[in-house]
Amino acid sequence: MANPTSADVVVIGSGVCGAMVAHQAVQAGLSVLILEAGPRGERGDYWQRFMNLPAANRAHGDMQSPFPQSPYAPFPMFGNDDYLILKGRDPDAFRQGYLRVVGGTTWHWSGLCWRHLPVDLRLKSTYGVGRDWPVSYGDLEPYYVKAETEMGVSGPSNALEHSPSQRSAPYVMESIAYGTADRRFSEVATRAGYKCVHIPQAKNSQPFDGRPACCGSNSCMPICPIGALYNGMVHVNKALAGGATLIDQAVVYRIDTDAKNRVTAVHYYDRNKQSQRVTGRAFVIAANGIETPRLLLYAANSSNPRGIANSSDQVGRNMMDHPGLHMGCVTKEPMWTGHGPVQQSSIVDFRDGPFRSDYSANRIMMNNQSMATAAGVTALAMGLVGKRLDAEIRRRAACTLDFSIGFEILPEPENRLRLSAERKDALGIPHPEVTYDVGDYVRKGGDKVRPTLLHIASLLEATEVKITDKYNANNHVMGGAIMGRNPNDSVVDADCRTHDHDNLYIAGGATMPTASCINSTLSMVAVSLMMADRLKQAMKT
Amino acid sequence: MPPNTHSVILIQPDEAKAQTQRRKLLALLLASPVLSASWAAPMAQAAGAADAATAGEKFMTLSVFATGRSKLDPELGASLLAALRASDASFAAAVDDLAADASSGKYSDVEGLEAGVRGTPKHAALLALISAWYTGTVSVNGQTRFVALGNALMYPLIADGSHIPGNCAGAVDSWGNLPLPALSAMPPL
Repeated sequence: MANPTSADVVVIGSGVCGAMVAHQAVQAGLSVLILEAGPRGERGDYWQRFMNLPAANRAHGDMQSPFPQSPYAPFPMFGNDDYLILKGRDPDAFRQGYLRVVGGTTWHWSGLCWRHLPVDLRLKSTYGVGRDWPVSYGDLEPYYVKAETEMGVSGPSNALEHSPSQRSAPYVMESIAYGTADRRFSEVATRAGYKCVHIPQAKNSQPFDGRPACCGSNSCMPICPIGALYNGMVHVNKALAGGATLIDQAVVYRIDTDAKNRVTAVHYYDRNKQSQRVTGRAFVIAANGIETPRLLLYAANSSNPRGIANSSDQVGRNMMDHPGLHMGCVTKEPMWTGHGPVQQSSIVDFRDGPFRSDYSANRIMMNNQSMATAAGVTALAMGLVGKRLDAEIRRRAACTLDFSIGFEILPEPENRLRLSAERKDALGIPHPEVTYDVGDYVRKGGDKVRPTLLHIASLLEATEVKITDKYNANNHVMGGAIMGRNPNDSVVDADCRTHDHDNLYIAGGATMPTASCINSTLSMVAVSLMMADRLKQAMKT
Repeated sequence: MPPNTHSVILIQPDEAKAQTQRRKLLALLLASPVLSASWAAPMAQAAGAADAATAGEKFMTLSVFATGRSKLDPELGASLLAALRASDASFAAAVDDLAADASSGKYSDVEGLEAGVRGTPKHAALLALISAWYTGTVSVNGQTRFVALGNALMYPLIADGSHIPGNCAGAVDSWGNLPLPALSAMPPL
């Protein structure tokens, strides 16, 4: 059957945000075409490729290699990646590991479903830094509930563990039980006076929505073997069941506009490198925080010479993530990480406070990923043999802990994605190039948190305490097409409709004006669902 | 964050299956006196098979000594030996030397052997052999090659307190009240 060449709504990108929007649109009776640059794969194949990874890749957290690339839609690979070009003061702090495959990067996410705090959306007016969102937490809250319901978020019923406390509905299901390490850490931290909470996450603590309960594989990143962890495929499949059409390996590269600057069509290269054209009444770009601005810039036309939706020159600016630090240590008593999901507990005392006018908020999370493989690789690298080798592997597997600390970077126009002038992909499209500096706001936040981290290590009677001194990326790409009321300093309005093109919308992290310090996916989905409602309303008129 | 310095050779499921079949065939060939006898006419082939069998036996004998495990999977051993030989042209000779050292009676265990060969070219080969058995991975020409996961020797060491990520551990929340195994309570290997 020939691929369709027209639809009411054309969605570019099949990750969780694009899939959610597509599903909402088909439910409203609209015809929907999804164009995905990457290939469609199957869970079993991805899982097998993960299980066949060499030990060093497993030990060092290779989340990319299980997912094969299309030759025409490259994405950053583990190892010597040359796709995402990074420059500036902190290039490694933006070394992202996103995927271009059907279903998107939620194939290998941790599933954490934090909400922004209400004050996170009023950062400028409250603390004098960053930006305010053009919508309030009250506007967004119903969509947080909807996002949690669609994804099946498990979370604590105990209101004292809610962060934020402002919720209009309970979690869909109770949290998954802590394993031994999270249990021990939360006990120690709570006893010392920290607020340590059970992180809400899109993993089933009971069968839900046709998917099974978590089986504790401890491989959420890079692949849940059974689908207990939500990913974008759930809503891709729901959209397809509702009548949407998906074309994979379809790389959109050109956007046509008419005299009123409405988008009339997009062009894509198919899997045979043949150019195809698709028309629509409305278009949604949901292609990840990096690929969305890359496309908008590359698709510049004679009416929009700086790029589509870029009259403000803000496309590609304000690139954000959660700059991270890690603390590794070896505890006195065995903790045995690796039971249950990979991330479960977090200290949230430092998500907010007056200090935010001066330095970054943070969240301190214990990683519950199994240390078994890393322990073996580390002990072997020490040159040990025999009984000493066996004992050291066991000690390190049982007692090694890793803490991930995430910080809130401010939206800065100079943290910017451009089209590379040096390298092009197999279709001749320039690689994305990002200039990045985490900024003094984050660096000061990093300095401030170190005594707290050392205190936590002391509570666990830990040795070999090492806190990284360079910031790492966390794959929570935000910015590049941020929302705002002023068309001169933002790309989309409060409905996530571009200021420049009244039938072009953007879904996902690219639109978020501030990052908070917690994982971004739930907020990305909530904003996308809000956008979908506005889109549906606009399509009625 | 981990250093991004590792390149990967991934074995696809079909290829892994084919490799398993090839390994089984080789093992059968080397283990079967009937097959070996029937192939005895071509002298070069017979010599090659005999050499391979001898090299395999030496490798397995040395591996038992080097790992301290009384029982090792010969099929995995054949795969590891092939990968180790591909990674280092001098590995086969080093195995001969190390096997001679191990059977000389001079060393009572691998700790003694390791100390005895430290500073010699044999030392790197010994550690490579041990690393291969423990991780199921061999470095070949600067690239890491997956050979095995479930039989890698590092995992039974922590079987009472953890498991191989990617495999299901049990019903949801079954980990909710697990005890914390003591470090001293090493599982039987």
